[in-house]
Amino acid sequence: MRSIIPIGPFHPLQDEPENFLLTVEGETVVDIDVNLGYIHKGIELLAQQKTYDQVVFLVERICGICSITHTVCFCNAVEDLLKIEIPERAKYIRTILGEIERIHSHLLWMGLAGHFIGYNTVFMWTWKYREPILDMMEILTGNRQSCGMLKVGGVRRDLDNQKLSQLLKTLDELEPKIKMLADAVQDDPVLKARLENVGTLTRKDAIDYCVVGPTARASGVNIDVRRDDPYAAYPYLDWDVIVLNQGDVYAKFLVRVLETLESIKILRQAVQKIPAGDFQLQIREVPPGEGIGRYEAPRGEDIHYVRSNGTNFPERLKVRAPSYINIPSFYASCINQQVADVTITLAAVDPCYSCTERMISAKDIRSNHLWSQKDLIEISSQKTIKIASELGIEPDLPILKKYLLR
Amino acid sequence: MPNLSTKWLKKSPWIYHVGTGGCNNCDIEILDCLTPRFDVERFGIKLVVSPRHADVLLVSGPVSYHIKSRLQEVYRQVPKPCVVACLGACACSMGIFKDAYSVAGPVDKVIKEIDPNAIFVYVPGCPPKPETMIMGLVKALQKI
Amino acid sequence: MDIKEFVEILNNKSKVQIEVQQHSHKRVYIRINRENLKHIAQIIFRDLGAKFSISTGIHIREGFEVLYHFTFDKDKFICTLRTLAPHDDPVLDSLATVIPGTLWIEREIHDILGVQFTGHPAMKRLVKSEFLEENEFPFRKDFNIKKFKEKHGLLPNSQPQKELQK
Repeated sequence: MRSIIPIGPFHPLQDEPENFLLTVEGETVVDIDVNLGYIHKGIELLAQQKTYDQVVFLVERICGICSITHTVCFCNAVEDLLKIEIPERAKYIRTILGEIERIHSHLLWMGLAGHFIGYNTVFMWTWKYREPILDMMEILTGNRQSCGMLKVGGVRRDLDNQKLSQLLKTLDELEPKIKMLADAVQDDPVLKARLENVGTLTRKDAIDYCVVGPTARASGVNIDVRRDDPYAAYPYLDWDVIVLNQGDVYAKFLVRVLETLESIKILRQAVQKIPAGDFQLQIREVPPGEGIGRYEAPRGEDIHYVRSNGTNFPERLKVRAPSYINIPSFYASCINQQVADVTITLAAVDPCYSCTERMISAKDIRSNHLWSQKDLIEISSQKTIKIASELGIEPDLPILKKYLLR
Repeated sequence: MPNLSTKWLKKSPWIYHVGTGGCNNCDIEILDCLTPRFDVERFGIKLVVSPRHADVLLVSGPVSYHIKSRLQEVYRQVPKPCVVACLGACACSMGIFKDAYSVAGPVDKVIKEIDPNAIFVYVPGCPPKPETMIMGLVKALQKI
Repeated sequence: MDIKEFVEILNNKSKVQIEVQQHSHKRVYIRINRENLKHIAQIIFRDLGAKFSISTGIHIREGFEVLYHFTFDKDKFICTLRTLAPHDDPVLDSLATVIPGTLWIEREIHDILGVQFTGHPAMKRLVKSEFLEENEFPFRKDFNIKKFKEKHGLLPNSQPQKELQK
């Protein structure tokens, strides 16, 4: 017998409030539908009423977690239109800020993923590790997020070299913790049993749905804008692209953990190599034309299209955030999954915390019982406990704890 | 108005978070308040999953048309008396989204449409820091 | 494969008239007729292995310009297809059957500009606010934000300011 479970409208497991309609047969999901537009604010239309300098601040507020992503991407687009190269120091500063953002975003997701499958210990610990990184952001730029550091043609303010050496110290403290987390994820049998072969996105589906970022890289699609369309200082640095082939939630988890370690590697090199000199260019006018900017956000490729008509205001700004193209892949990855696995599958694509707080209500049509976010997480944690006891592990003492207490 | 309900409200406020179209920044910082560094649960402040259990409604973001009626519905479900805390510049005054076509108004205007006597607390900032949010809640409790 | 080779291959395979404008060594814009859109998109996506990134809808004097951005990740460039749907007949072929990644963006362009996509499997509202009527399209040049807000009584008045002073 079929029934429909609406998730939302207020909550989402994504950035924006969205409404998911799951059609279930027993415990198996047979169809999924997504409604959105709840927080459609018309940023693209608003950008047409603002000057290029103002738009930088506007795009910073598209997404709080990706505040540097969108600003750098917009600057890349306008610089492509103008055909200019920004000063070396500005490139390095953009790289440093972008990688700090990637670390805090990945840590944030790992914590939430832990929360969804009932490992609240992971949630609390990863968020604790995240705090020093945000402190570093505040020391370097003046704000924890949305720092207002970027402008077309470079960066608005310079970074202090003394403060940058402080960043190295923070990274030295952070690295062993992330390594411990990586080991724990790879060793933990419960996590493996819970996440392996769940929400699998095959390589063919990944290419058809054009997914980007860690979602694509976990399915064996080898793409990374930092390497494929180099911007900022990435061509001068030595780092690897992490690609795994399984395509399930476990692979997505692992890709993000390993990428965080790569980010630390990039940051170390960038801080050592950063040259002295100018950090911005003066832009007098923007000629008519069009430009496309790309940026590898923590969640995937971000792309901005700018068209200018020679005035102070952009004629059209098109923003494509990575989640926009990743979310439709649910049509492929959620079908034939169990309801208990849907929470983590939805979260695996693009984790945002909005989820944890926002109201989620699921309604079972047969019994008229209203499911809340709590119930769905409850189902999810019950499954984890069941698997743990099947494996002969005391469910209340997950193996992860062993690592965390070390 | 010191009566029984406000007396209990002051001891341990339970909060319910509504995101009405913000950029997520404030939402992140609310979660930050719950994690080990700030840990507001030690003061008895607890995040609940249903508006029917809440004493304080945390609202972040400008209210878009689409979500306006949902916000009003959530406000109706909260047991009165309650406090509405507007988090961030967008919730206080719509901030940078003032001229956007699909924004219905700041939080106070939308809620006053259905309850003119609602109590508001404004926490400005983009995003407000966790310390500021805790201070805002303390102010909210003093207001009652 | 660089841009020059790509244009040659495209010319040979599609056998239709295209107009190429190269912006830099990383960006190329190709103007095509709307009848050939599906045919050329199929060649670029299926045969040449590009990734569909996004499409953009713009209201210009001649009609509605819809751009399709394809990225070639191995070859490090972006190819943009430019098509035009005129005012009196704003219809384009839907690419959703060829590229599932276009499912959402076609719904969005339909919402904001009113361009019809023939052959789209599930054409319904994606981002449009409930307040907008069927024939109101915010990204058209004749859409007036001030009038729209006035209609719904949303222009700021003096009342909230007085209350703030209290």
